[in-house]
Amino acid sequence: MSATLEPPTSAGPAPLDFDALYRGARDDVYAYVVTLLRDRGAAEDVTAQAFERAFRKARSYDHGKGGPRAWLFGIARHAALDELRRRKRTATLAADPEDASGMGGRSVEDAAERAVERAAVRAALAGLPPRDRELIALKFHAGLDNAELAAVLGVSVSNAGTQLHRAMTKLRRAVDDRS
Amino acid sequence: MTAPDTLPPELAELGELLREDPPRPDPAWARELDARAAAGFHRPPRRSPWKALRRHRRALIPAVSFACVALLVVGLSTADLSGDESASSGGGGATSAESAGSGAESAGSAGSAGRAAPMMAPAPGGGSAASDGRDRRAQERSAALILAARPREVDRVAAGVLRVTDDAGGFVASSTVAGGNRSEAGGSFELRIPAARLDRALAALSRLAKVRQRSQSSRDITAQTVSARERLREARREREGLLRALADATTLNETEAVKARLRSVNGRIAAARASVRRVVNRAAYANVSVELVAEHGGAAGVGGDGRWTPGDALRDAGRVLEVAAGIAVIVLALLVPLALLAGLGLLAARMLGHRRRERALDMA
Repeated sequence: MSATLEPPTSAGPAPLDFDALYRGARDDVYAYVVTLLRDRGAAEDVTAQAFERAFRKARSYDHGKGGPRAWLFGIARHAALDELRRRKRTATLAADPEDASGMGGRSVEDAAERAVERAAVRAALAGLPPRDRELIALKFHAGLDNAELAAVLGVSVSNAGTQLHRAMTKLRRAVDDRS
Repeated sequence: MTAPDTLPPELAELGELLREDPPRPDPAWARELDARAAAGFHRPPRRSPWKALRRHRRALIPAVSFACVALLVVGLSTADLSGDESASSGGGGATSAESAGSGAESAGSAGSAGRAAPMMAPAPGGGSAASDGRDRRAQERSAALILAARPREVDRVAAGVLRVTDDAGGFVASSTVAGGNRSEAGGSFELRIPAARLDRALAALSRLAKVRQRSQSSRDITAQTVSARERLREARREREGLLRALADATTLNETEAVKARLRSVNGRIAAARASVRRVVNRAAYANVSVELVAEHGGAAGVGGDGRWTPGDALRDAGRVLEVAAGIAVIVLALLVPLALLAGLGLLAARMLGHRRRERALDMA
């Protein structure tokens, strides 16, 4: 894989480093897609497809239209929505194996309580409408900021912030309803 | 990752939980994707038609150039480069090549439809040749041509007229020719061409110079032919009767009287024969009137004195540019709406695709 797809120019913007983009975004793209599709197998296919498309389109990447991650997630979103159109069906998100990472320094009780909370949030997220799931996945799984979110969704930054707030409020309510 | 600083604390706490627990890919799949990425997502490249064209651009350049030149030539040949208004208004501006190409069989092909009479007009009284019991109908045909040539070419065209007449087995009834490079150069010819070869001869004449006007007409003279022959037959029958009467005459007075009547009848027979011959000749030979005029300003931009001057060259160059610009405008008139339609189609397809994707998200 070529790390740099455009020859560096002194005056122009920095060339797209696809290798770095791939390494930094592979798991995030997968997390976003699987949250949207709720189907691990399809998410794997779509993620691979998204990276392949991005690799082929890398030369036409436009720095003026958001950062590389926003551009990549825009491609992933198109691929995921195309998959939704093709299948017209949804699958239930398979339960993830419990992840013990990120719990260093905490007590066993705290870790158990945190795991229960995460499971509740995950279940509540799976029950949200697709648009809300997508917003939350882009924000917290893919790690996009509001400007990137707006670029991916094709809305203004303030609109993206408002939509995200509404989606999180719905998630909060869903989590509370489950507890 | 950017912190959700715009969210209130209770929602930010949810975000923290989500961030701690993202769905993780299967390690085996991740390794496989890494390998594919390292290989550059290798797959057989799709052959873009533009790339294929670019690859063969060396071969394409002459082809495209040839197409452009062909387009220009077609435009120039269809346009009247002479700028001779009288030619285009007088006889449709048909060139000799066009006349030849249209074929000699089509009546009035070079003249306007209104001027040119039908070549084989139905005979007065109508009906087919056999409907009135006659095997053949006699037609008197005539044609008129106005040919335009450069002054210096008048002599050549005049010689051509005579040659065509000879080749057709006809003859020149009268002719006047003023040759040379003078502006009043020209000529007129009254030709008699065998009717059976008239079409071929007209086609050959039309090839000699630019045809400004061409017209043909035909007149049914069957009745006159039949009448002349009938008069001849009657006179012969009368003479046979008089010869029998002469043989039976017994007296000198009777003999002299019959001889006097025979002389009168012989005179009528001679007149009837001449009449038949005249009417047969009218049907056998067509009258062709050819007028040869000098063309001033020249079809190829030649001056009235027959020389091609720098001014003529400039005028021709301007005309060529004018025609080329006209062709460019026509091409643009075709391409611009097509490009607009294609652009609108592309835009509509993109908008439709976007709406379908969004709808798929809502329906999921």
